[in-house]
Amino acid sequence: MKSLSTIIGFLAICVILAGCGESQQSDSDQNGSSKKNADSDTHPNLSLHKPKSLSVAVLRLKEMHEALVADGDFPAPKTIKYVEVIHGQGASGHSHFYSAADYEANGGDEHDDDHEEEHEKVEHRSMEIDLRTELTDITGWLPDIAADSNLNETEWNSVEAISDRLSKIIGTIAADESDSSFRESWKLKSKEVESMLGDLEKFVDSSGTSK
Amino acid sequence: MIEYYVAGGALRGAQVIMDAAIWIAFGCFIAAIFRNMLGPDKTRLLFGNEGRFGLLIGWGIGMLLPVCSLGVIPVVRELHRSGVKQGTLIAFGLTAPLFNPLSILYGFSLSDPVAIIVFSAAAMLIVTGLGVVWSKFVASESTKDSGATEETRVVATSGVRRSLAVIHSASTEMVSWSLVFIALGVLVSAATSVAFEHGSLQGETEPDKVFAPVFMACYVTPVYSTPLLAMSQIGGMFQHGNSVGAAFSLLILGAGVNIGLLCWFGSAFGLRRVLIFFGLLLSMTLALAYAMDKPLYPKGVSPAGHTHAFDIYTHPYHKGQDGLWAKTRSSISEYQDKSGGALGLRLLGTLVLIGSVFRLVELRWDLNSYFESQDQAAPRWDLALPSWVIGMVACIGLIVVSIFGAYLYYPEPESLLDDLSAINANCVVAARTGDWEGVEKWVVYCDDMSRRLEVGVFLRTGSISKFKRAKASAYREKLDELRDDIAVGQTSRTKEQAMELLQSYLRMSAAFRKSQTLPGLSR
Repeated sequence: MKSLSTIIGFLAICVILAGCGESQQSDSDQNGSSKKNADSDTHPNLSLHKPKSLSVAVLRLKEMHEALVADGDFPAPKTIKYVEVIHGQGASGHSHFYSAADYEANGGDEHDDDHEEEHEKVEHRSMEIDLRTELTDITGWLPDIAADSNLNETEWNSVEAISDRLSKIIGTIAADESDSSFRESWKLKSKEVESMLGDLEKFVDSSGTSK
Repeated sequence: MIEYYVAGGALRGAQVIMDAAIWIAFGCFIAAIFRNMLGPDKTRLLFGNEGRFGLLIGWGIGMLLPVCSLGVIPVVRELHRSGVKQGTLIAFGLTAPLFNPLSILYGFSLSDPVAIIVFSAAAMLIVTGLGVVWSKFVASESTKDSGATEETRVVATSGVRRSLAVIHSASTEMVSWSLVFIALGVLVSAATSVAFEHGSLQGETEPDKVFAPVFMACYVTPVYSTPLLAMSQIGGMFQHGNSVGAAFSLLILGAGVNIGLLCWFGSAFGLRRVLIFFGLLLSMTLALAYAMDKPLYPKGVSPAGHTHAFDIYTHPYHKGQDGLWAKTRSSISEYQDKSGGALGLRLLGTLVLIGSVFRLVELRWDLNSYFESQDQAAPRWDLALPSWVIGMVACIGLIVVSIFGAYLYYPEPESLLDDLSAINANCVVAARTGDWEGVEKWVVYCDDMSRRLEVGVFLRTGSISKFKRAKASAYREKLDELRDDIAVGQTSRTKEQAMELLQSYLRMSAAFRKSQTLPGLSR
């Protein structure tokens, strides 16, 4: 009897532990959804807006910075069209995601003959990425993107350091709830950001990546 | 249809045997050393039967000895025969297959080291918790092993007799109940794999699937996995942004247990106790899996929507494929070359053969009396060491060998890159010539070797720069892109992707080689 009650107690602790995880899960889900629209919640955290090279990444960062320091309306969220290829069906179904442009460039719906026997469903979708999310993501991806270039270790370390510093700046002002207050805080850091973007541009030349 | 299941089962069963052979052989020798060199008293002493730290000792020894969830069966049977406390035995039996020096090192190369440290700590929590609950409330008074047969305990005297006794015990273990439990583990694992269509687990571990940890726990319990394989799959799950809870379930229940081991627990402790044991193990694993699912989720990773990490746990062929027997034969041969399973198979086969001969001889002569008898006239130069000293040296020797094995498995970057260079070239050529099956095969090798490259550096220098990690990660990303595009028939860019892969390889190679140049790449 004693052993039975102990085991029941033990299982209860397990359930409570599991419950803690679930509550953290819902918290983090809420945080995530506050940044994305309803459509992107279907496939959260897709990296379809990840630039393919360092030059493209730096160019996009510059564009976003210029849009932030300029006057006028806050830039509208960017719409990304993408394709979900659902491969297999039932229990074996799983998805592959492509930006619509890449998918078309890569043959689109014309598939290799070897795969015709496998069931496949293609869904055309779109998602919206707001400027703050895109800024945060691209800044965080800079070391990954730079790793796929000809930069040497010293240069790569510098890119990583810039990525860290930029992420910290974004982190300090990310708490600003409204776009206008975010913009004001960003403007205060604009000189520092411009200096970092200038440094990044220097590395673009030695990265060997085309625009 | 029968060919589909039988050929698939034969391939999956053969792969399990090739993966497990060396660890099973190690397990037999470890059991033989405990029996013939340490003996029951010293074994109980080693595992802290008289003190309060038995569980920690069981955990510690389990982490160091190189066995898997099949190879641990001979060892736990021997510990049970020696009268080691059941709680300690549980702690050892669960920990030994989960971790060994090779797999922990591998784990550090795969993802955020914090994740592996948390996984290890959580595993320790489960093992200790189970051991405590078992010792206090579940353990039976009887320690008799129902599968121990009629063999008597032997602590051989010295010299050749002692060595012969070790070989005798190790080899006869492979023609004992251990073989039955191991065979059961292999058969159930192969049967479970072929019951699921090829690739049917690719979408089951996505982070948005609430029941992914539960599904993974139930699926991988009957499936066999080596500690290294489980670690590499966990790495793949982190890389693809799969459920962290499912990764933890895979580690504990995939690498930690199999049906053979559970059946042994059942035969030794009774069905009721093993059901309680498994219920506790499952609930603790799931509770911790859900608790760490979101907090440990890797930052900056985008879910890929699928993973190929578990394809090896499903049927190897698509329905309707032809020539399955020929494919099975060639796949077994290739897997043997890739996994280095030939050595383990030879060692295990030799043990079975010698064990069978010993069994036949024992029908007529009592070998145990011979092993226990004293040499009449030992040469003066022959220093007689107590068996327990030899036993301890042998155990420490095994640990040293496993560390030495780590250096062999994770060679110097220069040496590994020479091999990877050739394999990467095969992959590039396969992609350029439209050999999609070839690409699928070589991508797996390249991915594995790039991880071993990182561990090799870590092992020798104690650290690895972020730059090198990033280069290896960028290379694996190219491999993934190539494989995924081919998998969905997006092949019009494959030649271009092959060249990108080659460039990425050259960059990684330059980063890891001592002379950091980029051959063939213009700045």
